[in-house]
This record gives sequence, structure tokens and C-alpha cells, in this order.
Amino acid sequence: MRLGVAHEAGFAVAMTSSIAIVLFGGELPGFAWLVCLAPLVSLLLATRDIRPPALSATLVGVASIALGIVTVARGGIESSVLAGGELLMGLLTARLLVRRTQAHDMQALSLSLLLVLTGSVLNVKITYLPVFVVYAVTAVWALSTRQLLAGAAAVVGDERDRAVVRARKDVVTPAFFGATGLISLAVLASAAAVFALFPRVGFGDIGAFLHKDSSLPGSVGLRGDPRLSGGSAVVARLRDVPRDAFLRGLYLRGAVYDVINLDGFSQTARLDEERAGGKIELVEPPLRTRYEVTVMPVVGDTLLSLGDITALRVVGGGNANPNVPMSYNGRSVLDESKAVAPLRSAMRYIVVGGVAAPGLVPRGAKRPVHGLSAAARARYLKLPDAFDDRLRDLVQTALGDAAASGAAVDKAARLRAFFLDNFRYSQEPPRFATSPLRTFLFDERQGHCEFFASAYAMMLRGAGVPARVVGGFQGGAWDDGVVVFAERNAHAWVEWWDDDAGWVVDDATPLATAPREELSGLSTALERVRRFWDDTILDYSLQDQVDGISQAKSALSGLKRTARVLVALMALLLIVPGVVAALLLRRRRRARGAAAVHPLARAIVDAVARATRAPVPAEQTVREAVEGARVDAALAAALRAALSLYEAERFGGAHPPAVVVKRAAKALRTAARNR
Amino acid sequence: MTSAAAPARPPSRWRRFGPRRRLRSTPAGRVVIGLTFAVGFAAFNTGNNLLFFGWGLLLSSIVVSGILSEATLRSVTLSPRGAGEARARAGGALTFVVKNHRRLPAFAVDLRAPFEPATTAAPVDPARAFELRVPPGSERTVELRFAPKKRGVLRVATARASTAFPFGFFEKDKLVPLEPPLDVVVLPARVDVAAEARDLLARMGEAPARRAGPGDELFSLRPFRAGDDPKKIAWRRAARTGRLVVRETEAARSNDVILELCAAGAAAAAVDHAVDVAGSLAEDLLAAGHAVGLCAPGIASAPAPGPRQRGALLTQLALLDARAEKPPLPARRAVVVAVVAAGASPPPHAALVVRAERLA
Repeated sequence: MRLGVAHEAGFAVAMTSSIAIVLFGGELPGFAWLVCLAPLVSLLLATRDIRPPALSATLVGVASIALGIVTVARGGIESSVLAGGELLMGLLTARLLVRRTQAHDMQALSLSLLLVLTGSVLNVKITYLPVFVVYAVTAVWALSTRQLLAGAAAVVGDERDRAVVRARKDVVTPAFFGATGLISLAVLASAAAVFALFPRVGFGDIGAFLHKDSSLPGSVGLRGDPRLSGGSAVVARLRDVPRDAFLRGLYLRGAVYDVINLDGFSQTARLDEERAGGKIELVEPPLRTRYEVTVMPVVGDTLLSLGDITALRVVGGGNANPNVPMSYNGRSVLDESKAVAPLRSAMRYIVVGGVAAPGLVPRGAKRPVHGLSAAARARYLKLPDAFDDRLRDLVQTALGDAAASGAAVDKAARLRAFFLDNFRYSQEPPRFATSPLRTFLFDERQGHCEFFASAYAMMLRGAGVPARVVGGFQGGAWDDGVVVFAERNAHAWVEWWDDDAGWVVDDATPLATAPREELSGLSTALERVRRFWDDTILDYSLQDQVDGISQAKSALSGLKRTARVLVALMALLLIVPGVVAALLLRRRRRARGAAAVHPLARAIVDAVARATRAPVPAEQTVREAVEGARVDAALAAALRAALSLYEAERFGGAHPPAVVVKRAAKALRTAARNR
Repeated sequence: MTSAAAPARPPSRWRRFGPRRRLRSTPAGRVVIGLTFAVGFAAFNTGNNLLFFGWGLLLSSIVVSGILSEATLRSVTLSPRGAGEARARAGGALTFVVKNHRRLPAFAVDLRAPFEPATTAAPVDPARAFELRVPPGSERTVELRFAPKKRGVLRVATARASTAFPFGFFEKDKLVPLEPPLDVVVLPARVDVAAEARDLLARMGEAPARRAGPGDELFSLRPFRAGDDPKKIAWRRAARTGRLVVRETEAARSNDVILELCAAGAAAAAVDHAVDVAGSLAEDLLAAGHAVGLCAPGIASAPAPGPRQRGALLTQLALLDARAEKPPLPARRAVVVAVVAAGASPPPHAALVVRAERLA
């Protein structure tokens, strides 16, 4: 392969893969994928020797800076990494458009490296690894070929000579492929070694960035699209969940919303009962079950759980920085489970507590520990300001004769039946004539879970039952004892208060009763690859390192005495010959010296030294050594012959064949030995 | 070219720890070092495992780069093989043999031979060559090209083999002392003296050699012998006498020419230009078949023809010291051509004078 072609090919693939790392993980708009064409365009321009004006690169660079500023302005400081990725992609495109010198190639490669590092923050998915490997291999390829071209360009004169160098076919051979392949392998292996072995000790969390905006926001409007609809990104994995609980339907509880109005639902900014700072008081439900949750950093500081929590222990992650340990901070006044700080990386924790589902009340707890305070009851009964007679009549109609009975459970059953019988699930947003909720209830009678949850909670409050909306994830997919919740499982449902049973989970959304998903075939394989990535790469921590060392130690201590001796002997067999070989090599190198001496000159000096039994002084020339040596006639003749050959080559411009030189040196050595 | 003994050098105390190496970072290498610090900070700070992965990539590229460049340099040896003819303002080459002892090819080997500063010639960039690939177990003869500016002697005491392969982040040098050092004589620059040479040849004329040989004048007629060129047969004479005879021409004898360099009182630049002119004239006259000698400050060379004399004269001119005393002209029959440097006095005796004045 021609050297120039090899360089351009490796360069283009490295650039494309560095851009792809960000595009795969950065949640950028679809048109951003057009940037992948930049390396191809650059390749075409380079091969056809077309040089666009520098102004085009300047315009692209300025546009990328503007795009980065807009991204930060819209998304806040949390979007700064994404903005950095956009900016770097723009600058790389600009550099690729106007690429004229070897220095420009190096700048593009540096930008691509920065892009890959930005992708390390943005791309937490399994797609990172294959693209990263492609980048590492092709970057080594591009760098090494560039190094050859740059070195040659520094020595050869004009452009025509450089074209000759680029066209050379004897450099990029199978051996070159092998060498660069080995280099790539070495780089990747040592990068993996650094990753695995370097202790995760840090100096504090000064400026971490969130990966994405929280998917459990403080307020939800009903005028937009439903949150996270259709997303396949994994949000959480649950292990050790009973199979029958999964089949009954799991509700992974997250945010709780106490304010309901006709445009959506939200949380009260600050509650009177909330104490600033300090630990939040725990409600203590009876012990139920134990399960493990691995959650991605998309939920802010809210910890997902299947119901009430008796105990929660953070196993690892969250910050992945041992200086900033993550822990459980208890439940807020709104009954949300909270961590001490927002999650910045995947976190694993073990929960002991209940598994709540619609229609179930916590067993063994006829009355909640603390009941419902008057302030809380008032908050959860508060109706929207625009709750008028028409809405009140609708509640009464839906309740029927249950309005008079007064039992919360009866009222809830009637209202749930009202929604399940008369409404249809749809992700198409309603055409808003007045307010979204009013349109949903009186005109469209179809909507997604947020409509059902907010309308159901509002009507429960209208019927005198304290109620609230809960945001989280529902259903999930079962795979070999692990329940996987993805973005598409995002859901909103209702909790209402029963004086005997406490908060009861309820759901009036028709689709919530759909059959549970079981992973199979390709989905299982994909999920297992993703799980391997999340468990072994993203969730890798100091604890894993300590565990690994402990396992190695225990494995070693578990060996019998003879096995231990064998291991020690093997280590010695490897180390001792290595040390001996290194010492021998060093001695040999010292004996030979570092000077580059003509082989004939060395042979002459050696012969003289052997004949006179004294070393030749370093300041003597070869001729002086020969003329000053007192040797017999045969050796003197051989010395003169070798000297004349040496001087003819060294100073006379003659170039005798190597074999002649070797033969003369050998003859000299023989003469010196036979003396 | 001459050789000289190596000056005694104090042994470096660092030599005991290994071969001499010099490591310096390229601009790209400095960027990588900066990035390594920045990414390491970010990885510690955020605890992002993928940043640790990227940090590992940067660290390992630095380490792998160092190991590979060391392996390349260890496998490659350099041996000097002399130097070709070097002329001022034209260029020259040092010949080295590069050998790869490994079973793997060595890539991107940059060879440099820096010239010692204390030489008579003006400072000159190192002689340099770049080998894209040295096949495994092979040796190749490489010419390290350089471009001297002035005549004189250049000394090469060390050669350097360096490589920035594979990434170009760092350049590692292997220092190879040359024992003894290599001295290169830079011959005077070749200047265009065609007009002056033509003028001189016309004014000197031809001297008859009084023997047969190639020439224009008729020398004699002799009987035809087998192998003679039929074109040389004198047909009229043959018709008259009935015997074939051929015409012989008289050979033209070359002149003995002594180039006299008059440089007393001239500036150094003018002397150098006069040396260049004298050298070029000597080459042209020798090429025309004349015997050329030299009389210049510190130099007295008898006229002689041939390429050996060309080398001798150019070397003497290359080493000329204008401050030396000019010897008297040899007492022999010869055409004296005085090359007068700008600002110098012409000779008091009769000579063909060439004024060596720069146009610019």
C-alpha cells in the first residue's frame, strides 16, 4: 500500500470514530451526524488537491463556538460537556476542511483526542468501547504513518520528492501492519491495566458534570410530549426481586408530586415541615424483602425503590470517588427516598423494604407509624384553583353511590373504574381547547399516564381522599433474575391515603395492566453486553480493586505448601534469568563501547592489542597503532593490507564490498591468533 | 579528507547507567503531556471511570512511545564510511552504514551528523538523512547530505540516530562518537568562469609538439598501414606515385600554466571569491588538457595535468590561508595567469590578468 494512501485512510477512520464517540452518547440532534462526513470530505479534498479558502474554516469554527454558547445558555452548566463536544466537533470540521500541512494533521489528531475524552464523559453506553478501540487502532496507524511522512518531509527537498515518498510502497508492508497492530494492542492493554490497577483515590468533587438532565423533574407540564417515551437506555436494574412480584407489576418509585393543577403537577418548593439540613426522620415499615438496585445517574438525588424502605445501604458508585462517599439520607417530607447528593455516576444500593403494587396494602401495618398530619392532609387534599362545578359534578357522577359511603377504598375503586372504562391510552397529545386536563376529561378522553395520574389524583381529592402523583418506572423486563427498567418504562401513577393502611399505590392508566416483558433472543444478548459494561466498567471502584487483591491473596493462601513453593520457583525461574541476561547484556555493551568504529579498524586495533599484549591508547590513530606495533612479518603484512583497505575506504572514497572487508578482518584475526 | 585523533573526553558519570540518550518532546508531545495532566485531574475529580480509561490511554501512549523508540535505537548501529566530494554552496554527503540488528524492521530513523563549531569553515547545518524503513537484519549505505557555505575543513566528531516513531510525541537521540573524528574538506565553490577561460585559451594559443598526433597542421606523409583510416589517404599523391600514402597531423602541445593568486590587501570575502575563481579556472584549464600549477599565499604547486592535480589544487585552495606569505614564482617556462582579488594589487611581472571581482 502506498504510504500516503495508508496515512489518509487511517487518518479519516480515526477522525470519524472520534466524532462517533460523542454522537453515540451525546444526545445531539440528528443533523449533527452530518459532521461524520467531514473526514470524507477532507479525504476527497486531499486526494484531489483542492484547497478551500481559509474563510470557510473560520466560519465553521465561529458557528461551532456559537452553538456551544447556545447549548450552555439553554441547558445551564450541566450542559457544558455537551457544548464542549459540539465545539470540538466544529473545530475539528474546520481543521479538516482546510488541511494543508503536517502540522494541521497533528492539530486535527489532537482535537480528535480531546473529542474522545469528552465522549468519555458523555458516552456511558457500551457503544463507547468498540468505537474507542477503532479510534485507538486507527489513531496509532495515522500517527505512525504521519511520523514517517513528517520525518521524510523535513529532509527531502521539494514537493516532487515528497510525492515520491508518499507513493512509496515498500514501507507499509505486512510487517508494518503487524508492528502498528502490536503497538495498538500494547497501548490498549496498558490503558486497560492503568484503568484496572490505578487506585481510585481522588482529591474531592470540585466540578463534576451531570451526564443528562434528570428524568424525574420537580414539575411536569401536560402540554408537551410524555417524558422519555420510547427510550431504550437502561435507567435501573433490580436484582433479587421475587418473580411473583415482577409478574404482579413493579412500580419503581421516584419523585412525589403534591401540587396538582389543570396544566400538570409539581412539588411544593419548600414545605413548612421540612427542616433545613439534618437527617430526615425515617418511617419504619415492617421488614419485607431485600433487593439490589443499580441506578444510572439520571434521577438527581432521588433513589428509586419498589415501596417503603426499612433500610438502604449504598454499595458503590454514585460519585465513584472515595473522598465523596455516597449514602442514603432518608425520606423527605414528600416521602421521596433521598441520597446525600445528586448522583454523578451509576450507583448500586441494597434495599430492605416493601414491594408496593396497585390494590395492595402493606401487610402487618394496620395503621401507619405517624399517621398523616393536618398540614399534610390539607396539602394532599388541595384542589386546583380552577376546580369548578363542572369538575365537581364529574367527580360525583363517577363516584355514584360510593360518594355517600365515605370509605376511601370504595371511592378509589369507582374512580379507577371510571377511567379504565371510559378513557383510552394514547401518546398523542390532546388538542387543547382550554386546559390540558379539562380537555382530557371532557373532550378527548385519551392521553398518556401523566394525564391519567393527575386527573385521577385530582378527582380523588375532589372526593375527599388525600392523593398525590408519583413519578418513576413501571413494569420492566425480566432477564435471568434481573429486572431491567429502561427509559420507555417511565410512568406516573397515584398514591392515596387510607387511614388504616397508609399510602396505597394505585394506577388508573389502562396500559399498566399489560403483560410483563420477558427478554429473549437478541434483546437478551444486548442487555447482557450492556450489563457487563455497566457492572465492570462504569461501576468499577476502589472496593472492586480491594476485593480483587483480597481474592488473589486468599487464592494464594488457599494453595497447599507444595503449590506455593512451585509458584515461588516459577517466579524465580522467570526473574533470575532475566536479571542475569540484563547484567550480561550490560557487560557486553560496556565491553564493546558505544563508539561506532569501522569493523576493519576494530579488527586492526584488536590484533595489535592481542599481539603486543597491551591495549591501544585511545588517542592513537589506526595508522599510528599499526606503525608502532612490534610484530612478526606475517602479522605485519596482514596489518598493512588491512590498513590500506581501511584507509582506502575511509579516506579514499573507495567502497569495497562488505564481503571483502569481512574477509580481511577475518584474515587479520587468524594471523593474530596463529602468532 | 584527513583524519584526526579524537580529543580526550572526560567520562560522563551518567554513562555508567546506560547508553547516551537525549529525549526531547515535540510540540505534539507537549500537548499530550498537558492533556495527561488535565485528564488525570478530571478523572480524580469526577471519578468517571471512562476518564480513567482515557487517562490510561494517554499514559500508555507515552510509555509505549518511549519503549519503542528505545528499541528502535538499540537495534540500529551507525558506522562511518567516509565522505564524498563537498563543494561550498553546492553540497556534499557523508556516507554511513546503517545496520538493523533486530528481527523487526526499524522505522523512521533520522540520522544527523553535526559539525564541530571550531573548524575553519563557516557554521553549517548538520548533515542529515531520513530512513523510512530499515529492513530487519539488513544494512544499508546512507548518504547524509549537507550544504556548506564556505570552503575549509569541517569536522564531525559525533553522529546521532534519532527517532520519534511511532507517535511523534518525543524524539529520542542516540549519540554515536566517531573515533577518530571525520574531517571533510569543503572545496571552493564552483563559479562561472567560462568567458575568462575562453579568453585565456585564445590568448595562450597552441604550442606545436613536433610529433604526430591529433591536430590541425600537416606533419608528414607516410605509407599506408593496415588499420589506417581510409579518409586520411592522400589520393592525389597516391595517384602520382602509385603507392598509398596517408597524411599525418602534428600534435598540439599543452601549455604549462601557473595560476597566481594575488590577494594581499584584499578583504576576506574578496579573497574567498578569488579562490573560487582560481579553483574554477584551474578545473577548466585542466579539462582543456593543460598542466596547471598554483602560486598562492602558503602554496607553491608545480604545473601538472590530470584529475589528480585537480583534486590537489582544489584541496590546497580550500585550505588556503590568505595571511600566509606568498612564495616566489617557480623559475620555469610557463604561462602565468594572475587571479587578482578585488582590492589587491596586480603582480609587477608580465602575466595574463583575471580580475576576480564580484558582480554583486
